[in-house]
Amino acid sequence: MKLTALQLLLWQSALWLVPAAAPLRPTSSLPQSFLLKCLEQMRKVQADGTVLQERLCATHKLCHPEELVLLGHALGIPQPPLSSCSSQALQLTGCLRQLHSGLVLYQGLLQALAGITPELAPTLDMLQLDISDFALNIWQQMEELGLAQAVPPSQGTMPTFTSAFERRAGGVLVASNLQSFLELAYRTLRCFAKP
Amino acid sequence: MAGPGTWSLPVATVIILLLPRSLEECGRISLPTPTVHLGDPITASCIISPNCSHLDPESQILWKLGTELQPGKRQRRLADGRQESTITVPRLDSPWVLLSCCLRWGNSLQILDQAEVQAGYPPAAPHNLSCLMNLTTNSLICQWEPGPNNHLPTNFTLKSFKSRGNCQTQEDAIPDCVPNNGQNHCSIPRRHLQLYQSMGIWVQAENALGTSKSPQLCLVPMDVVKLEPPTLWALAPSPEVAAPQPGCLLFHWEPWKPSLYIEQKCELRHQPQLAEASWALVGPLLSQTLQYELCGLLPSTAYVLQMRCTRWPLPGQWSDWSPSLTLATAQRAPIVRLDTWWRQRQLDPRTADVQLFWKPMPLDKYSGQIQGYLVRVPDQAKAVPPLCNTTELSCTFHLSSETREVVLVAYNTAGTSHPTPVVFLESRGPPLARLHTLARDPHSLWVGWEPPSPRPRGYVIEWGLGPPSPSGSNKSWKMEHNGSISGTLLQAV
Repeated sequence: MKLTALQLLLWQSALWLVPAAAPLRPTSSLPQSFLLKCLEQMRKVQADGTVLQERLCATHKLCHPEELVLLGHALGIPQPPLSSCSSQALQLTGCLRQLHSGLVLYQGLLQALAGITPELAPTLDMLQLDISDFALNIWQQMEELGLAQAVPPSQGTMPTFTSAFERRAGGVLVASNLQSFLELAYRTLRCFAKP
Repeated sequence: MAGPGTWSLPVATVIILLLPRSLEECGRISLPTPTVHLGDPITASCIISPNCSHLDPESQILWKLGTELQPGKRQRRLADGRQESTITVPRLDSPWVLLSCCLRWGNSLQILDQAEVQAGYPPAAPHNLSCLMNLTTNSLICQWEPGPNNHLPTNFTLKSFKSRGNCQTQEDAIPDCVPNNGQNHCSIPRRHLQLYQSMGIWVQAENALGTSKSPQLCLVPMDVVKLEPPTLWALAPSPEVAAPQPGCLLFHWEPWKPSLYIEQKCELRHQPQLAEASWALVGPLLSQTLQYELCGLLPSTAYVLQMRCTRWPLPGQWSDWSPSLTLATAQRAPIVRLDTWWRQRQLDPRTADVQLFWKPMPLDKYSGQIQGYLVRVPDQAKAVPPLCNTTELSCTFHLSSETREVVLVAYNTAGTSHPTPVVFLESRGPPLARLHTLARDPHSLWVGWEPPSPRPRGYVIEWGLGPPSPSGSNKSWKMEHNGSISGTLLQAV
């Protein structure tokens, strides 16, 4: 059954509300307003990603990322690590760095998907803008905490999508990976945001 | 020989056509500037070239300001033979003036050149600059007040830059936003915005006389987000949804869909639909709870509900109030006292014919609507039909001689009023003396009496039309519960 954007968003919100199995404790303090903004930005990016997934599913019948695993390997779509944000090895500096680097990577992946289809271009643009804002917000916070490196990380080597189908399939995989990435990051930052 | 004034139009036309080149090259007005400060002087000169000298080398150059001729201006012949006249208008009081350089030709005045002079003021600094982030258009919409009319074409430009913190440093410039003609607002599209970072914004006004700037705003676009209002709707009655408590309303709301990722708080306001009451405010209602039971309301009353939301705990702007939802509270069982009066006629030793009258006296402003009245014999099973079930204010029934009492109630869908017992016992009080009447106006009658002793509990006044109307027909009655009064006013209904 097709889920609407609203249903998906509510479902995701419910998921986020479930506390992590092992409660996390902040290792250092982050400004509350920064955390609240981050959480809101994550929900916004998640909502954008959901719209992209829905449209790819509705128009191109690409509804299940698990059907595209082989293609994903062949294309070499990278998945950014978020190990420093896991409950077992939570480390604020590393987590923020990984979160930022991951967002930069997704910016690059979305750029590589440019030309996906004219109908999806506005959705992709919105996703890119929101990810870019989110990455900048984290970067500036890292700078204020003295955690930022002199040069922001680069996107690295991006896969090349050579056909319309590869771009569409890439869109499904990137959106799916992005959702998982943000889900974990959301749980971590939510823990930091708790008073 | 006939003078130029007597030439016919065709002749004049031929002469004009034969004139070297065209007349507009005859003269030329020079202005130091086409725009001056209102109230300032302006000096203009007009030079007539030799091309026109054959008309009359000593022609006097005349000036017209608007339609008025300006006499006696300075005129001189230049070294190259051209004539120059200079005019100084000491004070320009009009925002637009047309200067004409003319000379007399025969009896007619020929216009050789015209110049427009605009007068005004440098633009005042635009003020009241404010911005809202609109998630429908995905743009930051800023508006301002342009200040007093400066009489000159003025261009407004919304300027902005990306920054941090309190906007002390400028990071990246944002392209200028130029409003459509005459508009005092401009929208910066999403692609030029960083929604979660500070930006400096100001308005620049520019006209021919100068430039001014509004005070600079420093804001984070998402902190000025104005959401669309939520949607309110009534909960349809169903087995899963419990009916609201008396005096309560149950409703549901949903935040505006594009704002679902934003944590919000909402406010509800309500007022009775018909009464001229002010709005009552309820809040904050958090966007996680999408159902609300509003209590403490009047029964059987339609209420208008509206809701608005804002981003919270992060900053934001309140949305407009939502479209109204009108819901009515449930009825309450009637809260009335029933004044009763009766007449009885013995039909036979075992049966009497009883005519029972009543009047509902509301005990509360919101006493509940009355849908009808029931007259029953006390302690009779509910299955037994009542003696009367009527919407009228009287009924007639037969009563057996052993039944001396009935019970009267008012009812509606919410229930019945407290029962009023009616006992059919003739208990005569002391007689009244000196009953008298006085017609106050065509529609009312004052009835006075001397209160008897001992004082009764109250009085019943019964009246009807006098002869020749048939006695007993259409009698009216009224009950007074104060035994001390000595009169009452009867009014036509």
